[in-house]
Amino acid sequence: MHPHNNEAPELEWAAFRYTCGELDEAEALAFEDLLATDQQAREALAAAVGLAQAVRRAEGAVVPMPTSRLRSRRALFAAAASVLVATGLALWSRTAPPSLGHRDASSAEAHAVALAWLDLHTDPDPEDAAPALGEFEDAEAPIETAEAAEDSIPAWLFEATEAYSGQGGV
Amino acid sequence: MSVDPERLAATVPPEAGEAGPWFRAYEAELRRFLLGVLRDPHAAEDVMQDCLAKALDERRIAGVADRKAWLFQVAYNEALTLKRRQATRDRVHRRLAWLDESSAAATDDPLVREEAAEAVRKALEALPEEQRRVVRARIYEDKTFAEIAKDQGAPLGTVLTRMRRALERLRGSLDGREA
Repeated sequence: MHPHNNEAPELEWAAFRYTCGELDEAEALAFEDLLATDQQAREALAAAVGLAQAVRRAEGAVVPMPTSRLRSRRALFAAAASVLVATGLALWSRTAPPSLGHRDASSAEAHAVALAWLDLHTDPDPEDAAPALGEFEDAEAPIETAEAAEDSIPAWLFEATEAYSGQGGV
Repeated sequence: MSVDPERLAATVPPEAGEAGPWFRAYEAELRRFLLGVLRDPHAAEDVMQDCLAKALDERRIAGVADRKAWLFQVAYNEALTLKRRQATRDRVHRRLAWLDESSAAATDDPLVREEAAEAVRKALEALPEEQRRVVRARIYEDKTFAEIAKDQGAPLGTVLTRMRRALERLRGSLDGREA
């Protein structure tokens, strides 16, 4: 799996840090120079990748997650979305006609969808909501992708809210 | 130790030979090597295909004494060419998520099989707590060593030492399993 000589431990350590992107620019270039000429360095790099793969697989490749940051963002987002929907509901309840017509039925449907969506996004435990790596289109940046998704309220939620507002001509 | 495969291939006479079996023997390791260089499973597969095509060319491999070194040299040259074309790629990309996608694709890799994961799982459990925490933070949680040092309130050097010792133990657990 790896070269067995006196230089092997240093080579393996350098290979692992290279795999992680933990070598600085000069060190990375030096290691790449080594890769160009040294078969032991190449095998050390292959071994480092294999080890990192095996370790991640041993844990089931749980997606990395900045827990505290995610929790606070999630809470803030849930609060904002709740206020948005609650405002829409309040306006609707004050202005809606007593009998529900066709437009009311579609509004009620939008309401149900909005609540279901909110329920999905107010999970109290971020770990329960952690997406699998495979769910991300860009597997190299799962955290950024997840956060970006939470930063934006979907357009249909606004439409659902406006549907309520629209009932009263607001 | 440097080998220029193109020049080497040009200087040796063509001989009959089968590229398939010998290539397969190094395939899993070569894929891991390319992943380490490129950090992109799709790019690594592209280069693998190029390597296979060259390995199947009997004129190239005839007379090559160390086919493994030749193959890795070809692969590295191809990978460098690709990296230069994709000059926008981040050299200091510190996330390891690409490993998961590559693991899913490399089902024939002995290091990706369940028994290897089980061996590593046991080795992880046997690590001292402070080493296990560093491994978990770096490899599972994708934190940088600097972030780990800050989170754990330990000097960076201490974190690096813990990681290095943990890796040596984990590597030992895998060494006993590879055929």
